[in-house]
Amino acid sequence: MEMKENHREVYWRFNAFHRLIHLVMMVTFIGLALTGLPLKYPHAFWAKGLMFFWGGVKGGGILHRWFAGITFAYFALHLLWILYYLVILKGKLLGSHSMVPARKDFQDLYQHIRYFLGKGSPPLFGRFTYWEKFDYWAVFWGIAFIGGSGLLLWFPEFFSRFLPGFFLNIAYTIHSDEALLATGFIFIVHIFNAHLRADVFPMDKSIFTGKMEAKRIIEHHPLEWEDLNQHPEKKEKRKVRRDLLILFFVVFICGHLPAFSFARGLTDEEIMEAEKKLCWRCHRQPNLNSNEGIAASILLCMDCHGKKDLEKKVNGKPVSLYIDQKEYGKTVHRRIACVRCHDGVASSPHRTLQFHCASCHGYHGEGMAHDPHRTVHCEACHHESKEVMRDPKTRKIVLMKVKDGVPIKMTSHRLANFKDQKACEKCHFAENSLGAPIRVLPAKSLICIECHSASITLNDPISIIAFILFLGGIGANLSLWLRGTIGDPSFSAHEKFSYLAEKIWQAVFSKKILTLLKIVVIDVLFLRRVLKESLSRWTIHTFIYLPFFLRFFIGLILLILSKCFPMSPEIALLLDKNYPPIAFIYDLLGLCVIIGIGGATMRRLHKTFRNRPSAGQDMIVLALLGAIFITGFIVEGLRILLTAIPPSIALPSFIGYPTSLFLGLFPIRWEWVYPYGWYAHAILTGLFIIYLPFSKMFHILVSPMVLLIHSVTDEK
Amino acid sequence: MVGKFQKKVDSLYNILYKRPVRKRHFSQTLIVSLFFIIVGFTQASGTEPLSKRSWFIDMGKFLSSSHGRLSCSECHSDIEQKGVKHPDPKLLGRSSTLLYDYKKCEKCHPQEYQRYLKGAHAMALVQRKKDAPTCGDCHVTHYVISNQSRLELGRWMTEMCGLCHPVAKKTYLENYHGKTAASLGYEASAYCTDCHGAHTCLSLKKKEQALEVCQRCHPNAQIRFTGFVIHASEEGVKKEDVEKLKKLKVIRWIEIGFGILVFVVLTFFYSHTLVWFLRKVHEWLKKD
Repeated sequence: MEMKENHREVYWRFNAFHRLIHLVMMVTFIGLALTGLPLKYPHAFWAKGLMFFWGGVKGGGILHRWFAGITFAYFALHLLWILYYLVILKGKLLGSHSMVPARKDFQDLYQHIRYFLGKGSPPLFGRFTYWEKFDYWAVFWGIAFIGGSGLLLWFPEFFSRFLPGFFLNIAYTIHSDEALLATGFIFIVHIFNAHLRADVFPMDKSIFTGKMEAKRIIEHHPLEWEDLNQHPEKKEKRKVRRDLLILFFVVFICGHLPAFSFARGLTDEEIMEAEKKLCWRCHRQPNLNSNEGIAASILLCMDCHGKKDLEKKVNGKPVSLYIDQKEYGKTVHRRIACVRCHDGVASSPHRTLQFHCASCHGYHGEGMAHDPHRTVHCEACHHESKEVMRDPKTRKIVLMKVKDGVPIKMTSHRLANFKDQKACEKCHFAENSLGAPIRVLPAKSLICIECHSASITLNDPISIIAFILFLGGIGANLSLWLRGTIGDPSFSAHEKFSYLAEKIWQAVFSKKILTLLKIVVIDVLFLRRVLKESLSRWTIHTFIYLPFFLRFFIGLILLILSKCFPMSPEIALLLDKNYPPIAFIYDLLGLCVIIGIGGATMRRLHKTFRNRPSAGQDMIVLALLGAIFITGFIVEGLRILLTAIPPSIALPSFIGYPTSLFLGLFPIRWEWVYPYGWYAHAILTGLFIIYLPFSKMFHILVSPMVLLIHSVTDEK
Repeated sequence: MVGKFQKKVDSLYNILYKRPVRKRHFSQTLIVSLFFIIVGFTQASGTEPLSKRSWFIDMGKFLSSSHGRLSCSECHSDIEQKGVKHPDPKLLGRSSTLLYDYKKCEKCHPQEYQRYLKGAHAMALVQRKKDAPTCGDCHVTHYVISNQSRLELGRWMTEMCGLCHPVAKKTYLENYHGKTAASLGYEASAYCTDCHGAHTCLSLKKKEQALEVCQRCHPNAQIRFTGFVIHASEEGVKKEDVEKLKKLKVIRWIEIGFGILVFVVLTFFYSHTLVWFLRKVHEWLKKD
């Protein structure tokens, strides 16, 4: 009877870390296999279709490299884990629980084969069977070999500096053969062992749940069971949830984004060769997809523009239109046909209508350029010429074509060098006439993402310090919990961390996704619990918190979209803060926060709230938030003022525009003030971020998590 | 000679009308394709099939081709005149140099013609006159269509160059460039003429020359980068090229070594799995 009771017990097999690594490995391995195999067998009937699915070779290549990067990361994490296991947990590398092959494994293999052939009984296995150990070591050596050779192929130019070139051939062979071995092994042997075997069919869930029934341990790992009988551990029912369909669509959409093509392939001399004149030598529509077509179209232009005395008259003064072929041959665009960029120039009047930089190059995200630069033409920054001006009609920054009545020669096709900030200094210098701030400001970084569509970079000292202290604060909080509040107080820190990881794992992979959604909407979005307490408190809370949440949400969605669709003009428009709907929404949400802060301050001034223990903290937070939003609006007003946005566009930013009008009344050189305003806003935000984990405001991050975990784990 | 020509034509015919069968990879393909059979949809290649060389010209296609407005004698010698012999019909495809006057191409394609004269094919023409390829050997002139995409041109040139350089074609298609550019249709990768030059057809035996070519796409490449063997096959490599043969030997031994490793591991575990499976079936049958 006692045995039967025991059989229903469930025991731990893998901890949350191992499960996470396996899950990540599973996704990345399948991803690597599916993006790599079409390249190994490009003639197979499924290869083109599969590559198409990933968005062509370009998309597939990018995904393959991403998966490879994640693989290197979890490999490193695993090595760190081994170190942690050895040093902190005082684990042993050898022994019955170890992955290291021992003599017993070979004996087991021999006995197992005898059993297959009908000569004897199957062997008794310990914690890990010999094929499980082989699985582990196959992956270990596979990552070393495939990863190493893959790195060589990823950066061939770098590695061929100190390795002979034909090592690339060797890397190619190793990468390809090892990949075949890995896929051939995993998709046949591993699938059989873990899924199709009669004992485990349809699947051995222990790697996902981390648990194994006593019955199965007795059956499959009898030696481990003997060992376990002395140390029985936790019991809990298993829960698994996976959803791959979403992944399918995400991959399909993401894969199709970065595909664009370009033609090249002639030497510079070949392009510059000029030959005999014939009617259709020039008048035949050039095929810009072919090398000859590109050469022909360049030749057509060079026929006139290659002559040194070619000039036109602007304002009665001559300006040279001569293009130095040798100089042009050194530029980046030397293998692009002239008419590709100078669109519509092969007609009368002979004038370039528009540059289509965005037909080959993606729009800059926030990481590359600030959004005030959305009013700056590509060539104003990227052209070598230092003369720029604000176009009086469109109010955009363009290249200057005439300076002091003297036309400027524009025939150089060289681009500005952006390796340092010097190229930026053609606008950003003291006493400039463009309204550009006198200092080059850093891009909006990770800490700005809560309110703005920012980049995911950390470039400037403010955001780096803020982010490190923020992480440190979270770490401090975590260590505080681990010391006291989580689980059984007799547990060690490692056991408490495991307990926490387990709770999170259950929350993420529970079947109660609907409950989770409900909690997200009611408790997290609409703050049910606060409403139960007091209506006025809820109103103020909502006024402050919901706009924050919405701005964060909009920023995040736009960030993801801009990474996914770098070529899309629609997304570029949405990223533009001057785009009326976006400007209006951002200002409205900002106004809501200010109203909320005002309300909260009024409430704090009321007697009953003064004596609350957290009143001091509340006032600091309110002061910080108020200062952030006021500086924010001032900076916005300055931006509108300095970039000279016309009222018809600026009006929807109904706070920023009046601010700009008001500030415009003062005869101050605002481009001197703007950087200080910007830095003030950034420093205040940094202080707020740093203050978050050290104050009661940490509940912004913790309460939703706690609510979600509780909703899943405590309802039984 | 005629037999060789027939083989050429047959292979072109096979390439253009039948799907290529790659026996070497068949078994490997079978194993993995079981798992991806769900992804059955394929993209149409988009290349217009070229006609087999024949005495007949499909006038419909010819008239809609780029050369449709030309009269025959504008390229072929003026056989209507007295005293001009009709070319030997047997010559068709063997060497088109004798069927038409390739010098006449210069009239409309001067730049291409001049570049051709500088290239390796024209050098061969000087050395052994009749066999060397001229314009018509690479370009199917009667049905040529202008403004083809880079991909169409690339696939077409892979087949065309491959008729005379089958080893180069084979190795190119096994290389990353060929796999991505020709087979999977990635236009940013390199086709034959992107390295060897359009019409010049350089052999790129010199490292400095090769480096210049590599740097078109790999701007940071150094001289060692050119050590990468793209056409990695010992077939057709001259004995004097000791360095390449040495490299290929190393590559081949590593290939063999890893091939054995893959074979041994997979055979062992596949048979392990199989007998295990059979044992389980056996036990299951015994139960009832």
